[in-house]
Amino acid sequence: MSFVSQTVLTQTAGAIEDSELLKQLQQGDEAAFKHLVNKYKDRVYNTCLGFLRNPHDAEDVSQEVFIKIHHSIADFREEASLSTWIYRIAVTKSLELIRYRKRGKRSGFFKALNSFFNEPDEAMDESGFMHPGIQLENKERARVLFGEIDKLSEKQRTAFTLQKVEGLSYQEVATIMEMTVPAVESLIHRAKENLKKQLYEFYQQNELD
Amino acid sequence: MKNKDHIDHEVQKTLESLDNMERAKTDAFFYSRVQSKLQHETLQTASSPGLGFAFSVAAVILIIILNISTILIGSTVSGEDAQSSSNYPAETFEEYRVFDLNYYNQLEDN
Repeated sequence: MSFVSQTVLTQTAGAIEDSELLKQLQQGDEAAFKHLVNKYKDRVYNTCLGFLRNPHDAEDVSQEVFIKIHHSIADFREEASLSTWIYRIAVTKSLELIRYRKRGKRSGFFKALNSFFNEPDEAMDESGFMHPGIQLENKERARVLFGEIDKLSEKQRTAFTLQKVEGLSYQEVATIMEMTVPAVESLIHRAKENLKKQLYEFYQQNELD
Repeated sequence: MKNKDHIDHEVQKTLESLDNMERAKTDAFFYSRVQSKLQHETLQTASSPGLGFAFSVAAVILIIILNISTILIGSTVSGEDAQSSSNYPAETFEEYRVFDLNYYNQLEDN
């Protein structure tokens, strides 16, 4: 059996399994919910970590994702696959937290005042982030790259993170972002071009040895 | 020129640094934490239903209404008082007069 047909079979089996799982979930089956959490927890956590770059935030948001699923599974209408729906919630929740943090930074006077009297907020510190899945020799470069990914537009950042960090295909990214495949290809291409420019400037400013 | 090539090389290496990265994993107790958060949420909803908020809003509205009605009643009563105080000497005279002016007229007639 060829690799392609084997992949198609695996995906079809996964879809059937998800469909069955969904029925059980909509009947309020707790064992089915546990199965769903254990099946998707690493994908959700890895996606959240890719966006938030903080293990505590990623853990909290991942839990929120599954709580949201638990509350709204009855309303899920199978317009998208279960995994797509879960990824969408993970992306939305992560971006919501990023936007919230950005608003906080803009109105940062009181926070600065607060941090003057209190301990600094560890959750805000993303500079020392190191993704646990990155190979040791790439860690320093990956830290620089994650810093530059932050400067991309929200759409470019989402497409790039889903494709690079979570390893999704263009088709999967397109379904999650509700876009066409060419649009996603274009987004990722532009993201790479922007990153190249940003990294070039970064290395020019921080002269290489 | 050499530096430019070096930077180009480093940019390329940096862009490739996320290739073949492994997926980050949560621990085995993730489900337990989700479960406990769900239970905590359910308990919170049960112990502090929306009625608590409704009661406090109703109490505030009631206090405002009582205040307004007290002010309105107070202003009406003070208006009446002002009116009655202008007639006060005549009313007092009528109430406390101890003699009848017709008494002497009646005496003269007799």
